[in-house]
Amino acid sequence: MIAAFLPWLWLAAAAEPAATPAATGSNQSTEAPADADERMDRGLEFLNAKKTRQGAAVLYALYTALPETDLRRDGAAFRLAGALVDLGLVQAGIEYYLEVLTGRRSPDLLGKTLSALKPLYEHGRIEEWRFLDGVVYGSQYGDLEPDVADFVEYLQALGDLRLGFGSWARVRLEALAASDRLYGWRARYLLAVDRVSQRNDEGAEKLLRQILENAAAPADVRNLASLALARLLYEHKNYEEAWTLYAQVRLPLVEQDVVLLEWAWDRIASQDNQRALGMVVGLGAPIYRRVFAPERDLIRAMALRRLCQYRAAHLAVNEFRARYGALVRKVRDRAGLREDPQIEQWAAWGTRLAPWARLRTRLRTEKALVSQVGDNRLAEHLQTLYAARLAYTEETLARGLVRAIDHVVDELLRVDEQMSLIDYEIGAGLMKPGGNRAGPMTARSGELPYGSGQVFFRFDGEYWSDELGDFAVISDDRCLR
Amino acid sequence: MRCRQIAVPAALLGLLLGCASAPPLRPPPADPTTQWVQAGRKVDFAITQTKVMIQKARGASYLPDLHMRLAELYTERARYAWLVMYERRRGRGDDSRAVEAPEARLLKNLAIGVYSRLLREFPNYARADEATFLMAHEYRELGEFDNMRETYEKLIDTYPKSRYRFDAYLSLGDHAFDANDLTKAERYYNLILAAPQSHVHALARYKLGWVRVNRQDCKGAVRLFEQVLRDRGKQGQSDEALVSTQKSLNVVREALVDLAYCYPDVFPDKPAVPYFRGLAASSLDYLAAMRRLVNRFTVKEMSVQAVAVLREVMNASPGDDDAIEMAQRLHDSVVKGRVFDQPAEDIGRMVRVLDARLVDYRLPADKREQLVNEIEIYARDLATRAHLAAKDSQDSQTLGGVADAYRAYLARFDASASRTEIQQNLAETLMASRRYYEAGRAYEDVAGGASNVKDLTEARLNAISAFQKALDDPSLGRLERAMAWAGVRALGRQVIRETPGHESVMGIKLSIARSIYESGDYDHAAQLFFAVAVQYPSTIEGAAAAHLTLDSLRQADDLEGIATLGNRLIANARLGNEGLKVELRDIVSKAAQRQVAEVTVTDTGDREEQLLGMAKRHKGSELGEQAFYNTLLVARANGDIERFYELGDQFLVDYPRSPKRIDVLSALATVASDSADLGKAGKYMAAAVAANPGAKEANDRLYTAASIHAVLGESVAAKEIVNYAEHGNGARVDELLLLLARSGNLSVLEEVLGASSITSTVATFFRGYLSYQRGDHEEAGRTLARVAFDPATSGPAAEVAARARFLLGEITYAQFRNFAPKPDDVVGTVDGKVGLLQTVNRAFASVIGSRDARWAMAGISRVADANAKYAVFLRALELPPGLGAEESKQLKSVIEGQAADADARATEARTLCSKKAKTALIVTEAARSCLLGEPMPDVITMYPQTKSRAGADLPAAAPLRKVLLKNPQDVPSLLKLAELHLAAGDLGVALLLLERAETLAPKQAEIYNLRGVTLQRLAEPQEAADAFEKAVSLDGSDRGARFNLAAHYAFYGHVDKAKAELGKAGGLPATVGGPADHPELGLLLKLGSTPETQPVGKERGK
Repeated sequence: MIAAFLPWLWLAAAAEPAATPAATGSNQSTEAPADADERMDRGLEFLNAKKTRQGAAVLYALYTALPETDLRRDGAAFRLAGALVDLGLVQAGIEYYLEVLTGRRSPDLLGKTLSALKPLYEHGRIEEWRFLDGVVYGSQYGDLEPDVADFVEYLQALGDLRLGFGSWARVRLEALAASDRLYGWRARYLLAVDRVSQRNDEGAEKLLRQILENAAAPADVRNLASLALARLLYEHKNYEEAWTLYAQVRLPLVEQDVVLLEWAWDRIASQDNQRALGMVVGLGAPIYRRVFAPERDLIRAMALRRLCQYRAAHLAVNEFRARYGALVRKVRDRAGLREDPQIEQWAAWGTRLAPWARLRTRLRTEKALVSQVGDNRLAEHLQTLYAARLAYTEETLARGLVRAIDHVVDELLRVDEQMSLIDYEIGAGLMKPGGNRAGPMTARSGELPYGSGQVFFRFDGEYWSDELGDFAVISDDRCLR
Repeated sequence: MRCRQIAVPAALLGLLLGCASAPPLRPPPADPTTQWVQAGRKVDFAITQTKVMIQKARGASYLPDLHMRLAELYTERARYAWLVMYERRRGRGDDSRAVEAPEARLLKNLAIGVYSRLLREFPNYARADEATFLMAHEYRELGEFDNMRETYEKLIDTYPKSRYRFDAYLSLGDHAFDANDLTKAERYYNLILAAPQSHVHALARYKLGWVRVNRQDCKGAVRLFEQVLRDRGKQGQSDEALVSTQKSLNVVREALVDLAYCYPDVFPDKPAVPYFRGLAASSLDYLAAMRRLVNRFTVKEMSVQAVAVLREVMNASPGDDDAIEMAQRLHDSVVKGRVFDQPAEDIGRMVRVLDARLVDYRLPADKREQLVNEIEIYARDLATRAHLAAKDSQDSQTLGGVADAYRAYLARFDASASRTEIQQNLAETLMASRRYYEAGRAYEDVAGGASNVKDLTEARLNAISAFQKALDDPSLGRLERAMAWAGVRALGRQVIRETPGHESVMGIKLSIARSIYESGDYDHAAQLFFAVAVQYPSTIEGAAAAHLTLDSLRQADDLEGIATLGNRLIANARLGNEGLKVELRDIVSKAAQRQVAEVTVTDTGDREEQLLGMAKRHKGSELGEQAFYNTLLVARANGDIERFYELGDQFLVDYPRSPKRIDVLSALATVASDSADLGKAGKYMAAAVAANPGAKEANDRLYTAASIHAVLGESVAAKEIVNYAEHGNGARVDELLLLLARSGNLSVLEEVLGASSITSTVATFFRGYLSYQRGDHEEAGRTLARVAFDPATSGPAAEVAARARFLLGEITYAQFRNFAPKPDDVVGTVDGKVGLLQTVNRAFASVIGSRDARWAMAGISRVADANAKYAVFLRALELPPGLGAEESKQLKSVIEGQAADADARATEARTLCSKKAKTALIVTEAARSCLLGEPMPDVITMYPQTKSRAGADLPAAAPLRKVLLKNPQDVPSLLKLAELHLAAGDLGVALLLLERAETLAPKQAEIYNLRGVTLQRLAEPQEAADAFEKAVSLDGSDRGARFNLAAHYAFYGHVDKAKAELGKAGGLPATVGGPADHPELGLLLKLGSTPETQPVGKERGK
C-alpha cells in the first residue's frame, strides 16, 4: 500500500547500490551502512504492503550491505527468505532460511525460521537429508513454540531412527505421541512404521488403528496411516479391509498412482478381478500416462486370465509387447539404454531418484520465475543460486542414473517374464477348468434395484479425478467350474 | 489477495490491525542489551511495589514472605544488570564471562541485607533455611568466600534436616575444588553421598568424579561417572538443584561427555561405541561424548579407536562445520591405524560430507574445486591403501570391500584424472573377490576408457571372461543374467570385428552363440553354432558347436531343421570323429521320430497333408518313411479307407524294404477285414505272408488269405492252398478245398489238386469229381471208389464219401442212359440195357442204404428215373423186321409187361422217395423230383459254376465299410453289406459276411434268413432250409424269413408245409425279387388265395 502511494520509494530502493558483490551471496563489507535500519524499515513496509518484489530487492540490498557480524543481516535474510517464498522462489527462500538457521547468530530468529520452514517441510519442499543432516539433527533449540518444538523433536527422532538409534528415537517419539498436536500424531505414525521395521506388525497395526479411530487425527496423518495399514493388512492377506483402507487414502492426485496400483493388486489378490481391471482403467488417466508402471498391463492380463477371458488377456499381453517390446529388446541387447530418453525419464521418476527429479523440475520452474523479480541484481543473484542448485541436482541425478536404469530394466524384464508366463497360462488355461470359486462380480447397472445407493455410469474415455478409484470393468467370468 | 482488494480506508485499518500473514513492522532489536534493560525495569518496578507492600504489611503473617520476595527480586535484578554488561562487552568482541558489574554487586549486597534482616527478625520463618542458603550463594557470587562458608556452615548447624544442607555441602565442595583443596572437596561431596539419595546426589558424584580426575585417578573417575549415568533413573523430575547454575547443568550429559576424558586411559582396548551407546540417555548426549572422544583418541594417538568414533560422528553430522576436518581425521586415523575394514563406507562418509558442503550455493567455485580435490585424494588414497592391505589376502570378502570402495569412489569422482586406473583396480578386485558379473561390467568400463587397441581388447576379453564366469552361477539374478549375456554378445562382436585374427575369436563366437541361445532366439543360435562347427570342425569347440546346433534347433522345436543341419553336419568329413557322427545320427533319428510323432498327434485338421508333405520332402529317408507310415495311421484313424489303401499301396511301392512293410500290410489287411472288404483283406493278408513268411502268424494269415480267395474263387487261392497244405493243418486244407469247390471255379480246384500231393479223402473226392465233370468216368470211378466207403461218419470226409457213392451211381446211370440199342439185336440190346439197369440199381443201392438221407433220396430218385427210362426204352424198342404179326404182338406184350414192371418199380421208388422226403423233410432236387413227380435232371451239378466277385466296385458298400472300420462288430452294417453282395451275386462274400455276423450275433434271425437265400443260390437247398427254419424259430414275427421258408418248401415240393408257413405269416408277400427274397418267392403267389394268405408286408412284425 505504501508503495502504491509513494512509487518513487520503490525506484529509489531498486536503484540503491549494493554494498558487496552479490553473485555468491558472500559479504565482504566490514561496516554496516548508516541507514541500515531505515532500509530495513523500508523493506518491511514493502512487504507489509504486499509489494513483495520491491521488498525483496530492498532486503537483498541490505543483506549484501551488512557485514556478517551484524545481527541485522540475519533479520534481512529471514525477511528476504519469506519474500522469496511468497514470490514462488521457494528454494531461494529455503536457502536463506537455512542460512539463518545454521548461522545460529540470532537466537530469537531460530524459532521463527523453524516455524517458517515447517510448512515448507510438510509440503515436501525441503530436501529432507539436508534439513536433517546439516541443520536440525544434533542441534538444540530453546524457547520454541510448542508446535515448532514438536516439529524439531520429530525430525530429530527421525534422524535417530535413520542412524540406528532406535531406542533414543522411540523415547522421543513416545513423548511426542502423548500430545494431540500434529507431530504427536505424526510421531504415532512413525512409531508404527518403526514397529513394522522391527517386524512387530501387531503393534504397528494397533497404533495405526488408534490413529484412524481418532477423529482428532489430522487428515494427512490419517492418509498415511490408512495407506500403511492397508499395506499391512494386504501382507496379512486381509484383502477386504485393505480395500476399504485404500479407498480412504486421499493423496495428491499425482501421488495417487502408487495407491491405485497397490489397490489393484489387492483386488487381484481377493479375486475381485473386475475392480482390479477398473483400477487399471483409472491408472490410464492422462496424469499417469508417463508413469513407469508396466505392472498395469500385468494386472490387466492377470485379471482377464482369471476371468478366463483368454483372448482379451492375450491381447493385453500383446499390447504390453507392443508398448514395451522394443525396449525389452533393447534391454536384452543392452544397446543405448542410457541414451534412451524414455528409460532415462522412467529411471529418474520411477525410482529412488524421484525426489531429485521433482526437485529438478521445481528448480527449473522457479528459475523461470526469476526474471519476474524486477531487480536486476537480485535476479542475477537468484539466477546464480538456481544455476548452482540445478547443477548440483543434475549431477546427483546423473550419478544415480546408472543404478536407477538397472532398476527400470529389471522391472521391465520382470514384468516381461510374468507376461510370458501369463501368455503360457492362457494357452494352458484353455485346456483346464477355472478355479474352485468364482471371484466377486460387480453388479451391472441393470441389475440394481431402483433406490439403490449405487449408480453406474458408462466410461466414455473421460477421466475425473474423483472417480479414478471407482472404475469397474464388467467382464464376465467365463471359467468353467 | 483479499487485503489488496478492499477500499483504501479499510486497507489502512487492516494495515493497522495487521493481516494474518503480514510480517511485524519492526525487526528484532539490533541491540541485545535492550531486552535485559527492559526486563530489569520490570524487576525494578516489582521491587518498588514489594517495598511498598512491606511497609503496608507490618505485623502481617506474610511479611517474611514479602522480604523473601524482595531479596529474590534483588538477585534477579542483579542478573539483568550483569547480562547488560556482558552483552555490551560481547558486542565489542569480548566473549569472556568474567564481567565486572558494579550495579550487580550492589544489588546482590542489597539481597544479602534483606536475607540477613529476614533471618534476624523472623528466626522461625518456615523458609529460613532457604534464605540462609540463598544468602550464602550471594556471598559466593560476590566472591566473599569466608562469609559464604560461614553462612553455609550455619545452615548446616542450624537446620540439620534441611534439604538445603546438601546444596550447602555441594557449594562448599565446589568452593574447595575451585581452591584446589581436593581433600576438603571430597569430604563435602562424600557427606552428600553418605546421606540417603537426594536431589544433588548425581551432581555430587559427578563432581567427586572430577576430584578423581584431578587426583589422576581415572579409574575412580570413570566409576563415578558411570554411576551417575546408571543411576539417572533414580532422580525424580522435581529433585532439581536450587541454584540456577546447577539447575542448568545437565549432569547426565556432562558425566557422559566427561567420561570420554578418562576413557582412553581406562579402556584402551574396549570398543567405545557400544560402551557409550549403552550409557547415553539420548543421541545428543552420545554424539557430544563421541566428539569429545574423537579429540581424546586423537590426542592419545589411538587411531584405531578414533576411527570407530569418527565414523559415528560423521554418520550423524555430515553437514556440521567441522565435517571436512572430521573427514580428514578419519582418513588420517584409518591410514595410521590401518583400519581398512570399511573402506567403502568410509569413502561414503567422506562423500556425504563433501556433498553436504557442496550443496551450499554460496561456496565459490575455487573452494568447491579445492574441496572436491581434497576429498577425492582422501577417498582414492583410502581405497588404494585398502587394496594394498588386502592384496595378499585371498579373502573374497576383504577384496569385495575394497571393490566397494573403488565403486564408491567412482560413483562420486567419475570425472577424476585417476578414473581409468581406479576402474582397472575395481575390475581386478571384483574379479579377485569372485563378483564376476560386476567385474564384467567394470571391465566394460575399462574398455570404454582404453587408449590403445591392446588394452581395449584385453579389457573386453576380461569382461567376456568375467561374464561367462558369472553366468555359471545359477543364482545370478534375472537382470544380471540378461545383462551379462548381452555384454558377451556386444563385446564379442567388437573383438571379432576389430581383431578377427585373435586367438580367442573361436571361443568368443561360441559364447555369442550361447548368449543368443540363452536369450531364447534358438533359430539364430543354431545358425551361429552351425557356423562355428563348420568353421572349426576339427576342434573340441567345433564338436560342441555341432551338438549345440542340434540342441538349439530342438529348443526351437525345429525338427526339420535338425534333420537338415544334422545331415549336413554328419556329411561334413572334417567334423569331429565317428563317435560324434554316431551321436548326431542318433539325435537326427530321434528328432525325426519325434517330429513325425508330434505332427501325428497334433490335431490341427491338416496333419495328413503335413505328414504327406513331410514324406514327400524327405522321400527315401528315414524321416520320409516314418512320415509316410504315420500318414497311413492318420488316414486310418480318419476312416478314409480308400485313401488308406492308396497310401498303403504307395508305401509298399516307395519303401519295398521297409521294416514297417509288414506292419503296413497287416494294417491294410486288418482294415480290409474290419471293414469287410474281403477282396483287399485277402490280398493284403497274402502280401503280409509273402513279406514275412517266417512270422509266427504267417500260417494263420495264409489260411485267411486262402480262405477268402477260395470263397471268391480267385486263382491265387490255388497257390495259397498249396502253400498252406505244405505246413498247415490237413482238416483246414479240406475246408479250403470245400470252399474253393463251393465257389464253383473248378479250374482253380483242379490246379490245386494238380499241383499238390494232398491225399485226404476230400482231395481224392475232388479229384474224382473233377474227372467225373470232365467226363472221364473211368478215372472218376476209380478215384471215387477210393473214398466212397470212407469210414468217417461225420464231417467233410463222411459228406464227400456220400457224394462219391452217389457219383459212382451217376457214372453207372450215365452208362445206362447212354446205352445205344443194337439195330439188329433186340435181345442183345434189351439184355445190355437190363444189365446196366441192374448195375444202376446196385450202385445206388449203396447210396440209398447210407445214413445220408439227402443222397439216399437222390439215389432212390435216380433209381426211379432209371426204371422209368427203362420202361420208355422198352416201349420205344423197334422190333426186328421180318417178324410175323403174332410174333410181333407177343413180343410187344412181353416188352410191355417188362416196361410196366419197370414203371411200377419207378413209381414205387418215387412213392418211397416222396414218403421219405416228407418224413425226413428233405429239401433237395431229388426230394423235389419225388414230391412233384418230376424226373431229376440227368446230370446233377454238385458244385454249380457260380462266379463270385470281390465286390470292390460296389459304391454303396463304401459307407458301410467306413462304419465297420470304426466298429467291426457292427452287425447291421455287416448284414447290409451282405445283402449288397448277395444282390451283386457275390455269394461267397455274402456267406463270409454272414458267418462273421453269426459269430457276433448268433440269435439274430435276419442273419439266417439271408444265409438261407445265399445257400439256396449256391445250390445247397437243404442247408438253406435249415437256415430259414432257424431264422423263423429265432424270430417268429420275421415275415420275410417265413415267406422265404414257405417259398423254399413250395419250390421243393413241400406244399403243405409251405401253405402252413404262409398261414403263419398271415398273408402273401407284397413284393418279390429283393436281394433278401428267396429266388422262388413268386411261387407263393400261385399257392392259392385263401383268406389267410392275402398279400402283406414282409417287414418283421408288421
